[in-house]
Amino acid sequence: MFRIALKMLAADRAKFVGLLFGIAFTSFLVTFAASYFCGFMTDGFALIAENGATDVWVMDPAVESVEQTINMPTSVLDRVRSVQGVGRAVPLALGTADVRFANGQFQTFQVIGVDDASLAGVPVVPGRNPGELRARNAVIVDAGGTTGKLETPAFARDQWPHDGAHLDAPTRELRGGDELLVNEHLVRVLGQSSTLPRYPPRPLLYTTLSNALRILPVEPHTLTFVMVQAAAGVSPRELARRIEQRTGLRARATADFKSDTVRWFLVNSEDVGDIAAMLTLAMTMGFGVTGVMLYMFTYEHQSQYAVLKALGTSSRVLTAMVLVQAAVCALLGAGMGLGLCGIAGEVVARLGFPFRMMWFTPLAGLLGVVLVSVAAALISVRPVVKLQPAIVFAGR
Amino acid sequence: MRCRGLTKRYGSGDERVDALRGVDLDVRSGELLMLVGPSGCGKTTLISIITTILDQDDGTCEVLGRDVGCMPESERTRFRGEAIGFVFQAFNLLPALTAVENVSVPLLLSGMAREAAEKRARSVLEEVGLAARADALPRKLSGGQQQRVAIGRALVHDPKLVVCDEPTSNLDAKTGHEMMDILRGVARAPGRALIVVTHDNRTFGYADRMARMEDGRVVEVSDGERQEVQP
Repeated sequence: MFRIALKMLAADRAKFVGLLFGIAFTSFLVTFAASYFCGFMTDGFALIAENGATDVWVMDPAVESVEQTINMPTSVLDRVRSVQGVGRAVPLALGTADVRFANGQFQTFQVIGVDDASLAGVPVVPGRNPGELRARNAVIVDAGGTTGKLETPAFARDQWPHDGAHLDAPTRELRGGDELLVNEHLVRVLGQSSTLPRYPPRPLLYTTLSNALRILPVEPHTLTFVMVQAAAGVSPRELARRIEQRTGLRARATADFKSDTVRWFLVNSEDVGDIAAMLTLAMTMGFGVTGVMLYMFTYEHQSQYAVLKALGTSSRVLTAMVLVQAAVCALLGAGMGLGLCGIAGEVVARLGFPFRMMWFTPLAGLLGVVLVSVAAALISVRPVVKLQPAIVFAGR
Repeated sequence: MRCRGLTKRYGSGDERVDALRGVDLDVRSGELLMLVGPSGCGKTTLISIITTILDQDDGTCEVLGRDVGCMPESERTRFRGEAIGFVFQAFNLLPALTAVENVSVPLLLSGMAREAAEKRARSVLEEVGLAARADALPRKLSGGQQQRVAIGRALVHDPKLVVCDEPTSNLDAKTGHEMMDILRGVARAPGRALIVVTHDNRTFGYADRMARMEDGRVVEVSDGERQEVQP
């Protein structure tokens, strides 16, 4: 009977293809939306992701993400290093600075101060030695997911002019040897890196901790994070627990800190809330369309089910037939949609959009579509089961 | 088949319709009984009860020795699939299936393997004169050919009761006679009864007996006008 169900499904090719495309579109929409959202969230914890060697992040007890931080006294570094199981602990300072370009334009940068000794967390600049960052006032700039915000005057005549700002001067991208003014400190650009894009997007300025302390406004506390590598054989979570017990600071294993950051964005960022609401709406629409299409498909075949029922098909078999039809449509449509999403995702990711298809996004798309299809089938099968086969007679 | 005092009402209050008002009717094994009467007299309701599709309100209906009113729903469905064959006015073939696949549906429902079911279905199609079009879809068949397929589907599982609902109404006179010839020739068999609901007085000559219904009652049962009918 399942073969008959499949033949009934494929008999009207136009409707069948329409149904498949509807489901494919839904699974595409759901997976693409979820992957796009994951892309945003991944960009949200880019600082954690680009410091892959770090096992545990230590911070002020009130800090819950990399996005909203408060500094700690530098003395905490020694306290953390004294905890058993800590292999290596290095400081990381975050700050914000309004940076003046050579033509007078300015741009807000996130300043990332890394450990002078280890340079842990310094991005790669092609053709440059990371050690060059130890030079006084040396910096590396990074677009951080922005476009067109690292522009400096193209011609020497427009750089640091004495006749006022040359705001409309032709520009080019920053490169090694260019200079920027940060809080009245002239810094020299070593080059431009290409680290992970940020959410929210913002230009980045990497330098050593000692340079950062010099160019940033004076604060009583300067240490934002301590990045810890666990000694051999010590699990990051166990080490984080130990650090919290011994220091009273907040310590999170890298994976947990990523989750914390995502949770923080979901709770605190209105932008993310708006995006999530928009995507949820799109997904609901997609699911709704799928459900209605499947329901209509079954409804339109009621007379055929009535014939089968009159011929002696049990309600159980009819239900199974409708479910098989729904499952086949859902799996085929979802497969098409996921394939399309993979291709489209590759394209948009190459174009620099925050698309990240994580392991669970296609699964969520597939499961969502299958569940909605089965639910729609179960709803649509109700009238089939209740159907009076007497309608097949001429007098009905 | 033996019905006694069958009643059936639809609706309630002012909208109440007494479709059957105490029907007594017997159909004997091996005979072709025609059920005739004006529209709305209760013919469809009566065959719906006989074929276990509807419940009666009162009275008894025994089909092949079983009281259909006492059967649970699952048992009725199984009984209908095994013991009864249907021929509908509008053919009601499944448009997605070929003629042979349509005919094999009752066998598949009884659990027969597809290859065996289709083999049996082909032989039945041969009996109704449609072997050459066995692999055609219903939309490629004429009305008469579709009704032959429907008759094949009604007979393929060798039911003891075949119920035909206006089998010739959608057919021209010549094709209608062909259908009745097939029903009388192929469908009638020892131990099998045929009930044919019809308005078509051109086919009355095929009946062994005729039951005339009016206003929810069988008002007359007579010997049929069985004779050699000239198309």
